[in-house]
Amino acid sequence: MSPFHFDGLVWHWPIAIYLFLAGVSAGAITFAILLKHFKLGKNAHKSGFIQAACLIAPLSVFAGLGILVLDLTKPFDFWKILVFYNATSVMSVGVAVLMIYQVALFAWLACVFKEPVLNWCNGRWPLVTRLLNALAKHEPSITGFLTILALSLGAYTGFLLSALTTYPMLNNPVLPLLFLISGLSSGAAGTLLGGVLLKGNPDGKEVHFIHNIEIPIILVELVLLFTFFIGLIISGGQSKIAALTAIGEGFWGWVFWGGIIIVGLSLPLAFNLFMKASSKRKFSYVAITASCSLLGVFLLRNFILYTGQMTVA
Amino acid sequence: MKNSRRLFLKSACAVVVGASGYTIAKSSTETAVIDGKKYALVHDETKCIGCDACSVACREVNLVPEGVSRLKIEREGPYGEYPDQYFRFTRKSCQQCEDTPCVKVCPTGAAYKDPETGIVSVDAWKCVGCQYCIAACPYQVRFINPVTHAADKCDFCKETRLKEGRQPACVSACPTKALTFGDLKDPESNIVKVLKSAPNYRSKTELGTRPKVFRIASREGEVTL
Amino acid sequence: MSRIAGFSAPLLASILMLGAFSPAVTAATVELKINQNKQCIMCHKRNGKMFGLHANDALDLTCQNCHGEKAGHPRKASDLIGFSATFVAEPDVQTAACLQCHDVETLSQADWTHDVHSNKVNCASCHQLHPETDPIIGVTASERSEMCSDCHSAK
Repeated sequence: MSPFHFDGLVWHWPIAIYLFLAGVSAGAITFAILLKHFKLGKNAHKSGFIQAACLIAPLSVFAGLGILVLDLTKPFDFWKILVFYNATSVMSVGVAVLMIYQVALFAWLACVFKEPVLNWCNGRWPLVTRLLNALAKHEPSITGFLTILALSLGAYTGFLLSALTTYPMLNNPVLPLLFLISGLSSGAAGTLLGGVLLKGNPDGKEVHFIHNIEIPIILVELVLLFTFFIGLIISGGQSKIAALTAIGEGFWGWVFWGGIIIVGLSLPLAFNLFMKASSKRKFSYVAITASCSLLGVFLLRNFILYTGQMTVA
Repeated sequence: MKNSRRLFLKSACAVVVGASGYTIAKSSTETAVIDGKKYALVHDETKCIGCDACSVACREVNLVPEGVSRLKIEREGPYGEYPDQYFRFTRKSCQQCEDTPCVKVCPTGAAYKDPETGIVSVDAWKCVGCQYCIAACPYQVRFINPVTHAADKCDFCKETRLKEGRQPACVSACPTKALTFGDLKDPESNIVKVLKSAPNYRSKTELGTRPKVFRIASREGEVTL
Repeated sequence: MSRIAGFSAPLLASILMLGAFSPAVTAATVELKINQNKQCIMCHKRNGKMFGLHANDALDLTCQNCHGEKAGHPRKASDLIGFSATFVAEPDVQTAACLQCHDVETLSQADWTHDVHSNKVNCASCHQLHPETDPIIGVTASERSEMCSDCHSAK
C-alpha cells in the first residue's frame, strides 16, 4: 500500500492544496482585520504586513478555486456548481459562502486601500471615487461581515471532510475546529512571511501582535490534535484502527510526528517563546518560523486527507 | 456607534442561521409520494455460485465501459478442505439507500432519489465530477464513468430494463435465481415473500443508510472475532 | 549473362518451391509421437488424434497414460476411461487420471472453480485436450458465465 495510492482513496493532493489555500486566505484576512482594527487604524495600508495579507487573501482563494475546477472530471461544467445549489451539501453551502466571501473581501480591500487607489486614479473616473466613498461609509459592517465569512470559510474546510460517513477518521466533530485554527495559523504565518518579504519591520508592532496571538493558537491546535486522536482511539472499532494507522506507522506517521508536530508546531512555538524573551526579532527568525508554520499546516491538510481515506467504516 | 455594530452583527447571525436552518430542514424531509414504489433487491448468497452472469449482463445492458463496474461479485475463500471446499459470494453494488449519503452531499443536486421508485440515480448533465458522492458512499460503489465523465452506479436498470417493464438484467441473467427484485410496498410481491421466509441481513446498517439491498447469508467460512 | 540467367532462374524457382512446401511436408510426415500409437490410432484415427498441449513430444505421454490400458477393448471388458459426463466411470475416477500430474494447489491458483468442482465433476466438462487449443483458454467472461449456467440453472 503506497502512501499515495490505495483502495478507498478518492480525493487526492489537489483537494489538500485547495483546503490549505482556502484556510490561508481566511486566516490572512482575519489577521489583516485584527491588525487594522487593534493596531494600525487608518494608515493600515502603509504596512507591509497588511499589504502582504491583502495580496495573499484573494490570490490564494482564486488559486484554490482554480485547482478545484481543474480537479473536476468535467471542468468546463464548473459553472453548474455556481448555479445549482443543494442546502444539505456542505460543498454547496461552502461554494455559496466562498462567493459571498469574495465580494466582501474585495469590498473590504477597497475600503483599506481607498487612499492609494484614489491617488492612483487621480480623479479620472468619478464612478470609482463614488464607489469607494460609498463602501468606506459602511466599513464597520463590511468588516464584521467579512470576519464571519472568513471564520465560516476556515471551518467549512473541515466540515467538508467531516460530512463523509465513509471514513471514521474524517467523520468527526473536532475536524472543523482543527481546520479553522490551523487555517488561522497558516494565515498568520503567510502574513508574517509576506510582510517581511515586502520589507516590513521584523521587530515592529505587527509582528509582536501576531506572535502574541500565534502562541495561544499553536497551543489550542496541539490540544485539538490531542483531542482529535484520543477521541478516535477511545471511540474504538474502525475509528481506533483509523487513528492508529494514521499516526502509528509508515510514511504518514513520520509526516505527522516529524513534519506536523515538531516542525509545524513545536518549532514555531519554541521560536515564538524565545523571541518573546529576547529583545530584537530579525528577518530570518520571523521568516523561518513562518515557513515552518506554513509547512506544518500544508502537511496537516495532506496528512488528514490521505490518512483519513485509508480506513473505511 | 459600537452598539449599532453589535446589533448588526447579532441580527446578521440570526438571519443567516435562520435561513440556512430553514433550507436544510426543508430539503431533508422527503416529499412522500402516495403511490410511489420502493424497489429493492434480495441476493440469496446460499444460491449464488459466483458465475458472474449478473455482472456480465449488467455490463452489456447498461453499456458499462471496461475498467469500471456497476456490479461485482466478491469472493471469499476457499474454506474447508479438499475435496469439499466452498466460497462465500457477496454482491457489491449500489444499496439504493433510503437515507442516501450520496444525494445529501451532491453540490448540484445531480444525485437524486426518484420518489416514484425509490431508486437513486445520477443526472449526468448536472454532474460536474467533484467526486464528493464517490467519497461519501460508504459502500464504495460509485465511480466516474470514463465515457460521460460523470458519476455512475447501479440504478436497478431504471433507464434500460425497467423502462421496458422487465426485470433488471442481473435478475434475469442469474442461472440459480439467486436474485429477487420487487416492490417492498407490495405485500404480494416475491421479494416480500422471500424476505419473510428467511433470515436476512443488510450491509453497514449501523451507519444509518437504510439500504434496500438485502442478503440471505451463506454459511460462514471461518470464525472471525 | 543469358547463360547464367538460363541456369539460375529454374534453380532459384525450385529452391523457392521446396521452401514454400516444406512446412506442409513436415507436418504430414513428422507426426507427434502420441499419434503414432498403433494400438489406439489404428481404430481411433478420427476421434483419437491429439493436437493440444498434452500432445507435445516433450511430455512423452501416451493414450494409455490418461485413458488406461487397452486390455480386452473393444471385444472384452476393460478399465478404459472415457472423459465425459455420460461415461460410466465416476467423476472422481475420471479426475484421478488428471490428478496424476496436476497438483490440486496449482489448480486452485490457476482458477478458483477447480476448488469447488474438485473431484465431483469430471474435468472434461470444461476442458477439451484433443484439439489444438483447449477452448477454455482465453474464454470471455460472458462465455464463461454461460458455461456455469449449463449445469447450474435452477428450474
